[in-house]
Amino acid sequence: MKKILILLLILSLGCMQSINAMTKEQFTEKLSQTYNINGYEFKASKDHLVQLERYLNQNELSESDMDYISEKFDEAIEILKSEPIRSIEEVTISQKSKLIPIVNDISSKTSVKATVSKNTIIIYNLDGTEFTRVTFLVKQTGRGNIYVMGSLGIVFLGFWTMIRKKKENV
Amino acid sequence: MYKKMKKIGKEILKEIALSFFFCASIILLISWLYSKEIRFGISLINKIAIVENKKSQPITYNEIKKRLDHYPNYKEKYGNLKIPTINVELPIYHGDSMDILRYGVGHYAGSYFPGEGGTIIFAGHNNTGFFRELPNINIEDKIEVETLYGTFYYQVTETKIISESDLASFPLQNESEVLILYTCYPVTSLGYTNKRYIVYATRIEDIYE
Repeated sequence: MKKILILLLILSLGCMQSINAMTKEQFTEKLSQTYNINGYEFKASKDHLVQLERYLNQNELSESDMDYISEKFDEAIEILKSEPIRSIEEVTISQKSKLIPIVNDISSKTSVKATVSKNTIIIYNLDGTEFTRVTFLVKQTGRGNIYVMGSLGIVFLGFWTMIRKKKENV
Repeated sequence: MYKKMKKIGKEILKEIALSFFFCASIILLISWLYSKEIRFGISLINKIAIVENKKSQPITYNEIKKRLDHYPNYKEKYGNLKIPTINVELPIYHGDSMDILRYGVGHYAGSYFPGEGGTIIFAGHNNTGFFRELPNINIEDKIEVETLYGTFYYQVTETKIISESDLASFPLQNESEVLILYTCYPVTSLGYTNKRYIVYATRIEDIYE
């Protein structure tokens, strides 16, 4: 659910871009601040803020999109406050069920598109190309080569069969 | 009658097992002898799937802002990684999902791009050969990152083995340009591992300095 909050931060960052009273840098500064929710500190991680900045640098949003997304972001914060969670990782299933429709609603009513699945959030540029996928930092880069393991299993089965056959012949 | 059927069944199963044994041995031998050719062939077939970039804008670099004006799309190939001392030359893709890592080096989207003056994180598979030689890299070895918008050089400053949960070993910052390469450790492992081998390299102006 960290991913959903970050998605909403990205959408809100885009929303604030063309508000004359606030520069892009000021809005980035605002989003990088710590939110106090239920007495605990919530803050966007550095890697997600890097993507926020990147998204804003190459996507121009309309004022109406921005207003709408900003309102939805405030709703999301209220949802986080509604239960006694201590961090974004503790977001409950109930909260998740309320946050995902917000993301889908923004996607359907603004030019900012995103898709949410069980483990991944895909965010798209305004031209329809894929901007990023929000995932975990450290990947599993060892390949579980089930084909090799399966073949080895068959090889051992073959050895076992041959040995048994020899014993029977003896 | 039942005993006879049972005996015949056993014989048939044995023959099937023997056949599988010989087939598997042949498959293993071929995959070991021609692993590079097989991987190359698969990468050619899947090339269209990995690069979904029909509408992207040209990738351009702003020298003054030290930022790209337009970024590669997710899954887009945008450069090559070269480490001459361990014979590594691999394509770099934006993003590091599992399907990307099958074809080359994956650039973590939450890190900076080469030339932006921050932390750049590249991941690569270990046992398929991409980053298998990473533990053989030495301090002061040179790394070249050739991109669509310029070529950047780095020098290795540190290597270490960490736990997969040690996120502090991937410090994201934008005060100095640091390239981090990592892969699963041990590099000969076939499946899940809870350790990572990391290489840190700082940016230098020229690979020949």
